[in-house]
Amino acid sequence: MTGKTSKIALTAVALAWPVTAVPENLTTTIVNNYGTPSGLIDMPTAEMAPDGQLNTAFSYFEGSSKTTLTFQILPRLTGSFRLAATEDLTPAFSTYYDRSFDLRYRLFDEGRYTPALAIGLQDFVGTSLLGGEYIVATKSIGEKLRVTGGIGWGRLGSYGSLGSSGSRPGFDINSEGGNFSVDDWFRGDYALFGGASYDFNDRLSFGVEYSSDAYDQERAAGIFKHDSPWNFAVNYKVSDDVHLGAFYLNGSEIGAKINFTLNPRNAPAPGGAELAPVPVGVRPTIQADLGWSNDPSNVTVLTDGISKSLDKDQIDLEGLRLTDTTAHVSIRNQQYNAGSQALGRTLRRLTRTLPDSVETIRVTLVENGIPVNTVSFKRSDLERLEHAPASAALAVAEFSDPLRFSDYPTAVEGLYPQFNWWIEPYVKTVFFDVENPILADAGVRARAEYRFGRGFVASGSVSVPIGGNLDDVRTVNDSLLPRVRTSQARYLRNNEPVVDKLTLAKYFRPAPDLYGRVTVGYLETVYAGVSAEMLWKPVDSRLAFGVEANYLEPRDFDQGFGLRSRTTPSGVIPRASGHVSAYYDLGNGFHTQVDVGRYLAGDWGATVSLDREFANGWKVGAFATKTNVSSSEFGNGSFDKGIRFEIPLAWAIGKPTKKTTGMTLRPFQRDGGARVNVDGRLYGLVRDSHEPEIAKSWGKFWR
Amino acid sequence: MRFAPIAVLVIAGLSIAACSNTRKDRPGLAMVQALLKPKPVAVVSDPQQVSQAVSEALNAIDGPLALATFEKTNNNVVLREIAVNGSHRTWASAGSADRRSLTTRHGVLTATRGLHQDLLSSDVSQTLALVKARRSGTATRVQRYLDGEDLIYEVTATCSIVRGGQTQVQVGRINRTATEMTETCQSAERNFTNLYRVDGSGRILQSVQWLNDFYGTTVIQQLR
Repeated sequence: MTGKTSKIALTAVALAWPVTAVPENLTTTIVNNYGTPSGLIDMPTAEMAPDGQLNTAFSYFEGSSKTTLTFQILPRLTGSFRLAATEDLTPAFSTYYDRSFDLRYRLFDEGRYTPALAIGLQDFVGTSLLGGEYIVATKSIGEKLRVTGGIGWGRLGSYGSLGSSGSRPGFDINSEGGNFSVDDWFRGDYALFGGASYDFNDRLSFGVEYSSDAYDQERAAGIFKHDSPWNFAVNYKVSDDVHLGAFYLNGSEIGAKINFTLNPRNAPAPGGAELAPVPVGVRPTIQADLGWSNDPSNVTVLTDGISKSLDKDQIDLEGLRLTDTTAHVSIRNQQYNAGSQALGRTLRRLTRTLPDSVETIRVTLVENGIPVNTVSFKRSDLERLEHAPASAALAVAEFSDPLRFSDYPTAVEGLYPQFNWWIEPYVKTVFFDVENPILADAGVRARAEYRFGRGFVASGSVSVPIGGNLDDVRTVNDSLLPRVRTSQARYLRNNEPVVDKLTLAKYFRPAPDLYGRVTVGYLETVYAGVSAEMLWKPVDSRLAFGVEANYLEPRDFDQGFGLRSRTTPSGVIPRASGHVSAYYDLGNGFHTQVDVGRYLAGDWGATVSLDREFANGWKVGAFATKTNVSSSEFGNGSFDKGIRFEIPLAWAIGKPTKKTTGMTLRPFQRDGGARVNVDGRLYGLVRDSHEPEIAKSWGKFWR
Repeated sequence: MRFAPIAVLVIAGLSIAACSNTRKDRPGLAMVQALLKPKPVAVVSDPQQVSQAVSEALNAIDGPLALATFEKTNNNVVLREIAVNGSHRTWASAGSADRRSLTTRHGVLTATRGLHQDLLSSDVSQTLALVKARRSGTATRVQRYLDGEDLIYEVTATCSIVRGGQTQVQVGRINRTATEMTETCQSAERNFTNLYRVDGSGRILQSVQWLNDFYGTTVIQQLR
């Protein structure tokens, strides 16, 4: 038989072949010196990165470095955040650090005979050291050659200017920066630029350009010469994720760059590498073995069996209520980042353990001791739809608020109290501090939680730093507001063990669609106090409203158990802060939140945030806060803003886990528009288990 | 497989080497290692061993048995039936408690679980009708997978099914004359060809079926 096997095996080798994939419209994974998608050197093109792509690019030439994060927000919209460092630019600073934001929008995709056309703003909020605007067209000729031509203003209109369109205030080193420099856009001198890129093969490509940047500031400072507008680059793709490049600039400088790419839509292991679920247990015939549930010993045996069965899929049984024909099971999912997968695995386990007469199965998802969503199925539907398209099971699932059920299960005996602890290494980071793109401390952290049941949770965390360079974190001394956040540097410089947090929280359900939380204790690095919150969110709603009030005292700088005076050199930290919030899922993977209220420094205002959220849990977003604090009172940056990421660990390792890693990058952390950080905010807690999020990840229901 | 080692190191950084009293925290290091070195199925590649595993399974286990061979990874695994739901049968490794499974409908592969790039579900009624009846014709089939974002995508293929000649199938306890049916499929992303050897009662005894880009095609042979 083995002969047969290998014969049929050989036949198979030649049987499948890929069809040439349709390329996305004029995309590239190469970036220019500014870290934006472009096969050229300094100049932009109308190229885009593949949708959802994140680039982290570093480039360096003679005394000038740029670190740029670029996100392909939409297939035709690119956004960038950059830290640029220039040595000897002005006498005031040995190295001048500048943060900048870019946007590029493609107006038209490439056609058969027409080029792609894009419009862009470079360094459009800030001091505008790198400020420039452009309109650019790129056309591919064959598969290897791309030709670009454009017109630029600002920096991009400074060499070989053809004319002028109004006056441009331009770069002002003394401004606070951070405001939209609308008055500058498409004003001042303009000039033409152009270039071409050529893919020699899959890995090697070349770029040449005629640059319209005269490098006026740099030349005036005598940093380097500008001998030629012609720039040249060679790019090499080390792997799909790493690109290297070298370039020759201005006829005088040689530079190098490296670009790391990451795309939330390309997982290392698509679909996950976790083990198989158990198949649905199909009942041979629907039996009428009624009456069994009247015997308590039957129920005890069943509860024990179900608990053990769910445990094999890392699901905790919280409660169980049985009748002859219905089963209501409440579970706690600490494993599956996709709520649908926790549900799917639980339901399949139940089809194999429940008596045949049970036809209605309800599963309630419990978060921090409170019931959040009840999903009901007819057992025969599960049997019927196991091998059907997943959408069929979603169509027959019923989502309801658990409070609407009179048969809500009581907790399994002996479940509470629970004590859990963790000891793990940690890395504490500060990104884009004035002089350093990354500062970090590493150490060991011990965490513990004690769950009393009924929504009471005590938790704490202690960190023991081992080493790092967080000591170098800069202190801001020029604040005009109470130092609610600029004092944070003093906490970060601790080299002794610190209490990160120590809290007692109570989560509760006052009424259908309502959720509550009260947290008392050492809430975060800087603040201790009380935080109370209420959230309205129906189980099937994309809209939610919340209200939060905090009463706080600042903690001692040693982050022990002591508190310090609220008086700071620039004002007294008020005790009270709070917000009303609206949350809305816009659809198409976008989510927005608006918070209005009183911030830590006593300033009043609003925060708007917008995130792109991927079904696998990746989130990339931006936020801005404007309060009744003027730009000059606020200081550098003019108002609080930043970008943030959340990366699910499950995406990276291909196994279900609820762990995520995230970061928030602010060009400047000041004292205006600041909020307290509290664990267990209700929206994040409740939302993932509600219908809209479960439906988004429904692909994992049968996985 | 696309893989960004740097990103993964950064992301996994905090979970590596954690220890805890809860069962939820698998050691992070082990998880990363598992991904770097995937072990999709119990590996038996030596023909001698395959032959031995098959006869051992036939002696030890009653009921349906099959042998699956994954082309690209060159893995062989003896399968036993673990569940039946209507016309769908779900199979798992006969020799181990490994939780990975294949599902077939009358011998046509419709789903996998716990392998890489799992096939979530398939619509193969039209293919099945022609293949079982050993008739030439055209069929549309749909195969569903999860993409990197965990969204379902469908590969809808138009297939031309052609009846071929007779052949003798001699595998395990099976020794029967079969008709060769070839299914040539075209879809937007992929072209592939499946081969079925069907006996007089319409049962698929042997098949070569395209699974996904990771495994390529899969050979499934009934053993009794």
